[in-house]
Amino acid sequence: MNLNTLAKWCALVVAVLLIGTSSGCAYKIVHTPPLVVKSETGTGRTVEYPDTILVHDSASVWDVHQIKDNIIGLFDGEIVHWIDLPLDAIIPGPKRHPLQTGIESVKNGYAQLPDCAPVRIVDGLFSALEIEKVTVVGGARLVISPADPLTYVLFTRIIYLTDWVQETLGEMNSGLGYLVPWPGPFIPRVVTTPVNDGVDWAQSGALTLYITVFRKVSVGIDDGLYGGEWVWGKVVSMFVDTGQPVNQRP
Amino acid sequence: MANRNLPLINVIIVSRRVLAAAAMVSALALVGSGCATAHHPSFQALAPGTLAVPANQAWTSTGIRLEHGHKLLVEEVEDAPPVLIKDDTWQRVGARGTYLFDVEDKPYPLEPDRLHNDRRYPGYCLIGRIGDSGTPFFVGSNFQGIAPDSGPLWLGINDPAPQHNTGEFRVRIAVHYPEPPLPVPPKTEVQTQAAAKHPPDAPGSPPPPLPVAKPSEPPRGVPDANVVIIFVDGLRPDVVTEMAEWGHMPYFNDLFMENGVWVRNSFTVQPSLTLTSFASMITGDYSNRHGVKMQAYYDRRADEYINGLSTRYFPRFAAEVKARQVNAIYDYFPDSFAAAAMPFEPLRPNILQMNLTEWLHRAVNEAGYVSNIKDKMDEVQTRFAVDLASSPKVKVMLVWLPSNDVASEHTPHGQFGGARSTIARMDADLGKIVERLKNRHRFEKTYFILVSDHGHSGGHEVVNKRFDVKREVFHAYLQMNVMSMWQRFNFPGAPIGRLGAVSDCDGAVGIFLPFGHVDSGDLSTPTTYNELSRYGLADGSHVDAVELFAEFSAAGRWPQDDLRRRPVDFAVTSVDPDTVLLYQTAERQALIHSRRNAAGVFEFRYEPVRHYAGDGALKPITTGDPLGYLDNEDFKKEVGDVAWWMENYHTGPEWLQATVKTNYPASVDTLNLYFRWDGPTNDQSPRPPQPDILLFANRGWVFEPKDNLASRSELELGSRHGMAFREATNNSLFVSGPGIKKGTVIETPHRIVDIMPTVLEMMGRDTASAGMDGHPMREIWEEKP
Repeated sequence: MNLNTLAKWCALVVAVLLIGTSSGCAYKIVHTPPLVVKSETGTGRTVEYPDTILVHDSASVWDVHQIKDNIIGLFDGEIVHWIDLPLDAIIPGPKRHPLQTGIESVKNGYAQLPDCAPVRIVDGLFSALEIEKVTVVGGARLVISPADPLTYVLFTRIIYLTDWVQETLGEMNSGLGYLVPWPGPFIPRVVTTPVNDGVDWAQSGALTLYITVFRKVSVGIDDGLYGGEWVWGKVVSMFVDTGQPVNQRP
Repeated sequence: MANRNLPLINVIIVSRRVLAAAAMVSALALVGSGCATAHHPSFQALAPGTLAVPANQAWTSTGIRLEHGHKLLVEEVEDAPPVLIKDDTWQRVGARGTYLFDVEDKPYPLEPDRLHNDRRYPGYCLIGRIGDSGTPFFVGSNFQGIAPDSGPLWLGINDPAPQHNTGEFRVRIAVHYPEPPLPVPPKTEVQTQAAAKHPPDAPGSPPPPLPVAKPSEPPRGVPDANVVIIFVDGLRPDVVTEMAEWGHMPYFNDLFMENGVWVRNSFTVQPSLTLTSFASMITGDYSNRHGVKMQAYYDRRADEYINGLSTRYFPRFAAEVKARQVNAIYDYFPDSFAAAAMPFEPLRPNILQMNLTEWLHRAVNEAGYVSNIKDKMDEVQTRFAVDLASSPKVKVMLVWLPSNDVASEHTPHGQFGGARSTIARMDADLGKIVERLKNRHRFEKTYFILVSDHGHSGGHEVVNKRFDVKREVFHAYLQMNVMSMWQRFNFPGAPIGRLGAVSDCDGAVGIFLPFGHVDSGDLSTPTTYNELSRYGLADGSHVDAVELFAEFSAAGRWPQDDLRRRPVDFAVTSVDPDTVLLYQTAERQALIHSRRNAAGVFEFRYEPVRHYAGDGALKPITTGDPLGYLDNEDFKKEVGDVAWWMENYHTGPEWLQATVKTNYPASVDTLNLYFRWDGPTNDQSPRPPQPDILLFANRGWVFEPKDNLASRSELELGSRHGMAFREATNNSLFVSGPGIKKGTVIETPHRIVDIMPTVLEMMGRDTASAGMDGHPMREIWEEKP
């Protein structure tokens, strides 16, 4: 693409966006009303304001920041959610999220089992695997390449499974403690505690880093978009007469 | 039901089905009351004493004629079949109606001048009127009152188009009954204690009310306890209890009104803003220690405007509190605390699987898409809270439900209007959390605290108006550019470096001025009253900046004769590190001094003066102080010798007790502490930026710009908070759980800082060693046998 073609495309984009003016899609001009200031003697002076061009619209789904967030959010869309959506549309009455409700019922039913190590271990495993939270994107990867081990790798899932392994080993250690003559678990806590603490620290640190990086990236993109909005505001101001600020000192 | 055996029988049965019964029932009514008149032909006997009001007609005559001053009782009968609105199976209501409706766009009979989504009273409830053209009034499922007029009594449905409804309300009516069986209010603390010591069947006359007794020994929560804090942003206690009384908050009613306590005199800190209050709630400290002074501020050191309400800064406040070496709830329970999104929070997870990534995942799937999350926050938060309630690792959880505040701020009548549907939904959310805890066998060991961070002002008697402090003062008199939450608002023609800042939002606004002069460019140094009273302008003249912000708009000085009409209630500014000045007018001012007593506890002195000049020569006043204490009978009664009280220093709890019945409870100490800094000051923890002047809005006013220069969308203005007076500072506080009193109203005044030490006690922790400003609420616990 040569420069001429690029310039033509840019002009076309600008023109289309400017056309959006009339519909209020691309920007809004705020006509700030003049300010009448009265003195103690009752005489007044008037402050005239130039118009303000506003591009950002935090409440609109078409705002670029919202579009960005919604695109990121698409990667979080659960299969369960997308199945429930049409079901809720078909079933009369208030939304019931039938599949999610069913899964929760199973969980609630499972919770009625006696509180013992095997029950806790199985519960912890399913909780760590987060099967019901599998996303559409994750499901698609699973269908496309079920044999690829990377399909199942998810940062948070690794951390949760590590946690589950810790807890399961802890349960086993406690259980084996009944078979040995000394009190307490099979491997004494003085040995396991520092190891567990170290693993906990690593897990928590990794997750914190993950969340921090995720947020930094999101804020960074937002900053870029704010810059874009500022540039767009300047472009619009070239075509719109906002009035000139004047020195209005009394 | 309290009124099964009504005296002779002002009872009529109306129906559209059998006309023939009308005459008989009318006759019964005439016999019974001697004043009933049959106006309507369509009566039918259903059951003795029962009247049916068809839901498909606007009004139905009861055939009863009321005289002015008659007692009137209307009660819905038990087990009445529901009315189907527009014959919709899913929209079933009883006489109490519903707040969860979105059907009509025509005026509703009860509030014809309002939009359908801004209603105080429920839709499709039973209503009444006296006479053919009487003003409709709310009846609901249980009405007890005095007839305001004389004429025939009509009953109807609060529905603008009832024709397609099916079913009927069934009620009993009694007029002029001898002893009105008034609903029994929850017991107060004194009544509960008196009843415990003097059972009703004990001989002798009832004892006089007992003084409040505090258990000497700290109570201990049950072993392996859980604490669930439901933090409903901005919920007014009078509103939620009214809705509970009308039958629209069944879970709340069961959990707190019937099986818990209501701490009626609970107050937040000054200013009553979300982040400041939240910081005090989760730390148990005032802002002189946690440092969260405003939700938005000008960072004097970094030369940066910080908007704490934007997602960009939400971890910042948590980091600052940490740097100030103040522990918050997530520090007290490092391995067992979990929360959905909070007003501010650290990014690290306390419990691995209860982190912000999981929250976002739940949020997206609950709301459908990210843009929708902000409109579905309560649902999103509740969904995540259900996850939290399922995890045995979570022992202390906090669920912030912010939608009430948002709805209140953007519906003109706030919680006396459109926000009520949000509150009704909140009750359902509460029910989901409770049900999950019951399912997981955790309910019996769980303490519930339902708390709001502040109240709300406006919407009831007045709809708030905007006061744009940037235009009306900064531009009109100082000709300055202003930074704010709503972006920079330039004064046309002013030099670019002439910059001030405001933390404009709600009913309290912080003013940040360059030191000494509009063109000094030095925003790094806070200004005290001495400099502010001779503030330099660009033309070389000087003004009293505090007077300017407190008393002026672009139209000049506000009239002195009626202070109620002014947008600014009063201004506060620092005089020296221990003293602040409250400025209402030149004639109505007060100094608040602070000092530490021998035990290291802060004490405060309130000194009303006029024409304060900072020169040491004080002119005391004995009436007309800014907080109105000198002219308040309750205050005088509480303190006894007013002159002695004013001459001496008193602790914060003493001031709270003295001012609890005034318009400004719990203000003296927190206004002073706001301008203090008693935390560490170093590079990692600099002195928190605070404004030069703190302005409080008057009733009916909000500090909001006339034009939103931050976003193309401009939402409607509703009720707000941040103000210093009672409506804005009285926060909801309800507690229930094992060992907590039931059906009791606690009158002992408390503050929001008392929540955190109470949580520690519930979890069996030592509160004394935590060194918080707050004190545990001991009156909530049942007396030990």
